[in-house]
Amino acid sequence: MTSSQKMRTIILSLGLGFIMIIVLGRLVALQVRGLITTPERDVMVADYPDRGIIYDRNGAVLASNTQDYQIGASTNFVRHRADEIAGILAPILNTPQFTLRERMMSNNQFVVLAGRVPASTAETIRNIEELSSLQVEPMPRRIYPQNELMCHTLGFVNYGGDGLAGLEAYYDNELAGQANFRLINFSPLHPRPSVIARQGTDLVLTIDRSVQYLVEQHLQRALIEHGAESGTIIVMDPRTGALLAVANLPCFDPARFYEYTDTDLNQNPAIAQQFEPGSIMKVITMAAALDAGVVTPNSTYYDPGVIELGGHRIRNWDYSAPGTTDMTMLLARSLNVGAATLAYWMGPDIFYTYMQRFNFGRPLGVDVAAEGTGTVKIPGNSNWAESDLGTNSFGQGIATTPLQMVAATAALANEGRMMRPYLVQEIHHQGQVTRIEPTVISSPIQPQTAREVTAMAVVSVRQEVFGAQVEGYTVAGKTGTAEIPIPGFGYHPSDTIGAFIGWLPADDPQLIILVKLDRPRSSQWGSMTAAPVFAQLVQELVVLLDIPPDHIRHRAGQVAAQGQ
Amino acid sequence: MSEKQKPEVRKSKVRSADKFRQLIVLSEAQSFFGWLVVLVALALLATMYLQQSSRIAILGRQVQAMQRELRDIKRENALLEADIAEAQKLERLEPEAVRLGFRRARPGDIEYMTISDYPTGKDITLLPTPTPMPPPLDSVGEALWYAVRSSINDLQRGESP
Repeated sequence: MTSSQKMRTIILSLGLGFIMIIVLGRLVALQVRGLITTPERDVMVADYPDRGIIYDRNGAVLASNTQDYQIGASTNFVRHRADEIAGILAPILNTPQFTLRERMMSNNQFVVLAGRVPASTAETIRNIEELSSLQVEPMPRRIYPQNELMCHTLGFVNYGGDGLAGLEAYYDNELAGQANFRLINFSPLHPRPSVIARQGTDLVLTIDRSVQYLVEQHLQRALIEHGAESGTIIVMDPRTGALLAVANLPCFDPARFYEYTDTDLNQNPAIAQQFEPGSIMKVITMAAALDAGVVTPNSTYYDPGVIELGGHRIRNWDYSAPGTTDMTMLLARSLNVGAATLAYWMGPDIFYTYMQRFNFGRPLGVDVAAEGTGTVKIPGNSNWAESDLGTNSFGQGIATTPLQMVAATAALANEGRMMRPYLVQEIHHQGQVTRIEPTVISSPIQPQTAREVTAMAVVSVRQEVFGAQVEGYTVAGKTGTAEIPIPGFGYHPSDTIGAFIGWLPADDPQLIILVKLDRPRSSQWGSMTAAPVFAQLVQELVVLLDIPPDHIRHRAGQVAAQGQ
Repeated sequence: MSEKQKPEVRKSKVRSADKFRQLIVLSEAQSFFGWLVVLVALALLATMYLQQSSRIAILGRQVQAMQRELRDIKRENALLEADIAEAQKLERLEPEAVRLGFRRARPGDIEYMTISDYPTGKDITLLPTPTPMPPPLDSVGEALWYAVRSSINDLQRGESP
């Protein structure tokens, strides 16, 4: 081999060796992730999570998402063909041609030609070749497939995706998830990663859609039948605090919240609005007196038809003077003088201690935005007077939310334990399920007291409130007819709030229901308006919720006992 | 004596060096074949590299396209679920049920039976054991090894094209 050949061989070897090093280097680079990424391929991307879905306890969709589309254009791309594009687009968007043309000829870099159009319109635009220079961008929109069903409880979401009322507001952070922006490497060698910081969370409610539907139907009929302005019905399981239905009427369509001028849309009347509950409060007063040992179920008092407390004369609703009366009859005949007598015997310290034990005047901590607290004046407050002790005992001069009243009375149906009402029973997040367990707020009275008051409330319904009785079922309950305060002017001369609160089956309560009708015209008495609504509703609810009549349950209990 | 021995030692050293040179300096034919082998190896490596790179790039694009498709399908699915929910709303179903002759049940419509040994607990359903999935491929080396192994398996089964 000549020296020239040797030289050529060496050069060739070096060249080939160099190529080999490059090839091997690339192989190594391919095998070691990250080495092949280059800054030039990094692109800033933004990902937005879909808002979580809200389901009822049986999986029916209550709130979901759909897409609208925004039609926009970069003026540089469309200006020279503005006439042609406007001509084609005008009939599709139902917008005058000159308006569209004017927008496209504007000096802005980007113009919106239509803010929100449905998917079908967007599809039509996409399929027209002459309109290919337009930008068709998806925009999420919240939908409520059940329309107005449980509108106040679900709440609503604005176009920006912010929850403004109800569950949508309370759980906004969870439902909305969290969008994110990040530089990512667009390489064909790797799948495009999602940069979403947190996906939207799905909620499963305690609400039963069928129960809610039934309740709203009965409430609607009641408003028409009794000429009431508005109304509320709450159905709760007293053993857990799970709310099965929360209905308020009139309602609104949450998907079209912007069409309503009512500024109270973001308030759920059942949970936020306070009212003077009237005589349904007497079961609480009776429970307090029994639990404090001030009276027993067999105690009697003398009812002269009037009692004076703090210079204020309190009379019975029918101006009767029944004389010597026992505790059961006090409750059955809903005697104001009797309730005031019990409060007087307890004294303000004991009475208001029990009011606080039953959580009046404080939020319950229910999982809905804008919960009301109610108003309880107590000794020491500048506006408290001795007469308040008497009037508060029968639910006047004291304000609670309907839900507070239900939660407090539910303690009588649940062996003295007061459960925190709740609406969300499961939170689903990326395959993980968090179950919300029932919570005991407090035990304001002893189990024995709860049973005694329930027994009295059964007699009360059996003897005096025929309208609330349901064949085959023992109902415990109390009617209420509350006067409506006019701030600064005392009480309305004729308008009332008719209410009935009942729980059943009395020996093993599974349901507690409050029916409240505002300003009924057919009658001012709760026993004539709210109580029949309760009975009609229960007749259908027991079928829907599979609660057998008393004799079946008792027979089943006996059979089970014999089998053991 | 020592004078005579010196040239022989030098000669043997020279012979050894020649032999060594002969060993390390290849003949033209040897050099040609040697470089040919290197070139073929390089070409093979380069071909493998290019083939794997292009296959991975194609697969990557396919994965990205499928991701887009999956996103669209999920979106469409959500819309369909919303449609189903609207179709199932009780406001619509109730009149339809009434039209078909159904009516709401009342407590008296239900007949209850008391069964002493009726099981109240839920039956336990055993889920099938899931088939383990192979982990995703992370590197060219792994992909190459997987391809070679699959080819050998195919050849063994007589399924190779």
